[in-house]
Amino acid sequence: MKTKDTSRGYWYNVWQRFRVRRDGRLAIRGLQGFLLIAFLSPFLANERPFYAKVDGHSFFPLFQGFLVDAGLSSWNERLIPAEDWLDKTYDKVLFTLIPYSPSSIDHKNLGARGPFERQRVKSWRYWHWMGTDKAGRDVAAGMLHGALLALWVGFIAVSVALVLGLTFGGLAGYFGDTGFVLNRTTLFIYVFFLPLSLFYAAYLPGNDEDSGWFGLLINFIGLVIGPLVVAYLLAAICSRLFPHLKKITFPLDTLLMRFLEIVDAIPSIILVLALIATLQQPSVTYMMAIVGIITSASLARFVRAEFLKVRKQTYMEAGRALGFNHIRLIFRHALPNAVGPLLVLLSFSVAAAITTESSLSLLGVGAADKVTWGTILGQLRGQQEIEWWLAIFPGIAIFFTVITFKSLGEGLSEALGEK
Amino acid sequence: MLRYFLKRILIMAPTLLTALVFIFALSRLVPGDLVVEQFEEELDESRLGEEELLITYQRKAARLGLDKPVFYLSIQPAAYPDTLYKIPFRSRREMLIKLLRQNGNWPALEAYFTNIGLFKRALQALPDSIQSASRSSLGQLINDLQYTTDFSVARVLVKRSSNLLQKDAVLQKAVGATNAKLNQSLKYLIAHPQKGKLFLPSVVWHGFDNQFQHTLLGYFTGDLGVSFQDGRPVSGKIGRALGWTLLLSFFALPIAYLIAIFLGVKMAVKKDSRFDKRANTVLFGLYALPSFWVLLVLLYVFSNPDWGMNFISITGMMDLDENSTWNEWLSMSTRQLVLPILCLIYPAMTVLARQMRSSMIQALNQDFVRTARAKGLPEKVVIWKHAFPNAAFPLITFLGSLLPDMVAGSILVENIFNIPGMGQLLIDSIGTQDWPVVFGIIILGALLSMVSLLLVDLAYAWLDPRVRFNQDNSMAKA
Repeated sequence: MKTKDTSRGYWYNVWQRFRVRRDGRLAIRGLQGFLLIAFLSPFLANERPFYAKVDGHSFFPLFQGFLVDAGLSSWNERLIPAEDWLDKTYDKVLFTLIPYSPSSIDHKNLGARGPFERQRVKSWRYWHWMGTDKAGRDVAAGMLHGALLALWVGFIAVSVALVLGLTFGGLAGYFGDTGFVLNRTTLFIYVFFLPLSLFYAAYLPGNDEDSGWFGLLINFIGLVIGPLVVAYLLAAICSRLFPHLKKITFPLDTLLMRFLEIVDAIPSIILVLALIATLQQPSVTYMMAIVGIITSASLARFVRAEFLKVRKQTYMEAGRALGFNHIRLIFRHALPNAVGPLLVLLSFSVAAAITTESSLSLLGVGAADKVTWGTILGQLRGQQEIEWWLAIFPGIAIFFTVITFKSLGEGLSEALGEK
Repeated sequence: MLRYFLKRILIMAPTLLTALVFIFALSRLVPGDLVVEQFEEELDESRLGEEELLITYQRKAARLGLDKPVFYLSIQPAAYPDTLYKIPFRSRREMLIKLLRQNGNWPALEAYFTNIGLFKRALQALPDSIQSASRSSLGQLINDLQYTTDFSVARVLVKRSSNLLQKDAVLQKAVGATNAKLNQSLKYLIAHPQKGKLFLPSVVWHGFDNQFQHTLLGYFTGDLGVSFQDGRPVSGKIGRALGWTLLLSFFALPIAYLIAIFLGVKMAVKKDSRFDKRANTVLFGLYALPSFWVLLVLLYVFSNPDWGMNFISITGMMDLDENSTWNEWLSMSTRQLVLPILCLIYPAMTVLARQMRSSMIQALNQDFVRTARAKGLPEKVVIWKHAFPNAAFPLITFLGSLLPDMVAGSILVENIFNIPGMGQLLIDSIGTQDWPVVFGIIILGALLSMVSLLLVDLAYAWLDPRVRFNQDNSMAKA
């Protein structure tokens, strides 16, 4: 298993090492199952039937539903009102495996009915296999759709963290304390134009309802990006015209590290809680964006460390000697060599994001706009009596998802480390 | 050592200061009008007259210190007035800004609003004998006018009021003049926009009497403000809650370290044995198990009277009151605190034990361990006297992140087991929008983690003379 096939490339070798490991196998299996459930969940649990025949006309409400939700289609009048799909009368109908959507309320089974308790359903076909929650929503449907949401949660948090962390960590690590050299005039130009662009970003004039998104975009480009472009051009001209002006090194690295110190000083969960509390309309997406912003601090620190390592390598020196520009050096040489360790960190971050979302929901700070595993669990907050089905099923789902992503990280780090 | 300590403190000070500034900035991002939220009953619009309402608002804002400018200076478009913060009611402030952004002529806008106020007052001052349909509809009109943010709507409303007045001779005589003035000022406002001023940045200096300075000075003297909820000082409230949280960590941390050290060392010594492999699997499982879920399940199992296991009560420490004897108190708290402490221990323990194992394996491969063994020292001495002290350094590093982690972890634990600690206070305060308490807790959290980082550094310097030496050396050079 340690044979190296250099002809197939680095990543092939990593993959070979990864897939034979125990945690690697676990991660692969887990990810397959998780992704399968996540993407199939609309077809496994949905209140809209696959196929329905009403008054001799055939409909495919489940598929049409996607179009309707996107505003591209509208329901036939025979299907209106387009709620209570279960109570409609059909000539023929084919429901999904679980004929409930995560947010559809079963009025006959309100107040958390367990899977083994008496449920008032028409037949076993409509049985709530994992019970219902307090609001009468089917837990099984929430669980299946929760997988997609967990994926979304991880994706948002990690992508926000990645964008911020890569930008700041990369800049600090690549330039270090000595690499970012500016002309004095250039610095002066930036010091003048950057606040100007920030000012327009804060008080974008004419950004009212009537200007529309296009007007807003024009405004934004003109007033926020414009000063930056002007500054860049002026700076370029200045450095051409007066190449012998005194240079100033800008300690990017120290600045970033000082800033990270402050962010690190505040325990992250407390910071997340406070930031979420300042949101006007908490939603899963905003919440996870905040978690991502907080995560980006550790990511930036990590990327910086990786780039500092890469910076000293001889191939970077060779690149600099050949006169490659910074963009090429960063994206073609430095970044690909930092990808491996970054992937490890990212898979741990996904696991952490999913856990954070659930614990926030459990604390009652979470979003109420979607049914996630966390919100199902969160209903047990401050309860005298705990309904076991509301605790066990989401708990198991979170456990397996978290263990999948954590073993992905562990396996990857081992596979990458064995060089 | 003392020099090192002082140097560390000096490095810490600017970080702490910036963190406080950051927290202050965060505290101003809070949505809604704090004055209205805190004094909802006193600011009842239906009970108070217009003028009285504004005066009450200003008095209440002064009490919260919110009548002052936020910072020493503000950068805003030249069209904005310098004293924007003095306008009562956030909603009105925002409405005015919305209008201003369309027009840019502040003096004209101010005149227009003064005329609206005058017109309203004139309507109210009318003798009761004049009661007509047009009077009440005029009142309605002027109210709409006050809250519209659309100039075309405003123009229609003013025109309608003029029409109404033309039909009613009595009213025309009483308020016709003010209406004409209002009409004129609106026309002037629309005819003379100064949009260019919106694009011009200007810096306004507010002086030293501002919220930033007062709040920050308060932070330094330990005055975190008063709770919105009950008017008691925040520091006292947090102090009482902090006791519980520290009590939990005080028990959990040493136990977690003890278990982790013994488990980790044993796993490292018996590397790749069956014990090691099994322990590793279990640790990995525990590490992936979300602690909040374990909490719920444990609470369910141990508070269930149906199973005869109602050892703990869900109402938690709330059952205790001042009359309970210390005996009751002790037995109650031990019963209630065992599970929470257990739940704090295990996530810390899993991380520590895995760390201990890997660093111990590294230490056992070192030459000095081989030398010690070759000298014929007993295995126990080799492990604990020679290998362990060298492997323990990463554990000290972990202390820096574990202490704040414990405080953070106690948020969940306290909320689920109903312990009146800092975590519960935080969540309750967020729920009731008691911002001084929330931001007080954030400051305390920041302080705690900084202090623990400092402790870690000091422990390093104390245990490893190289650190101290290097530091002193570099200082001597500089």
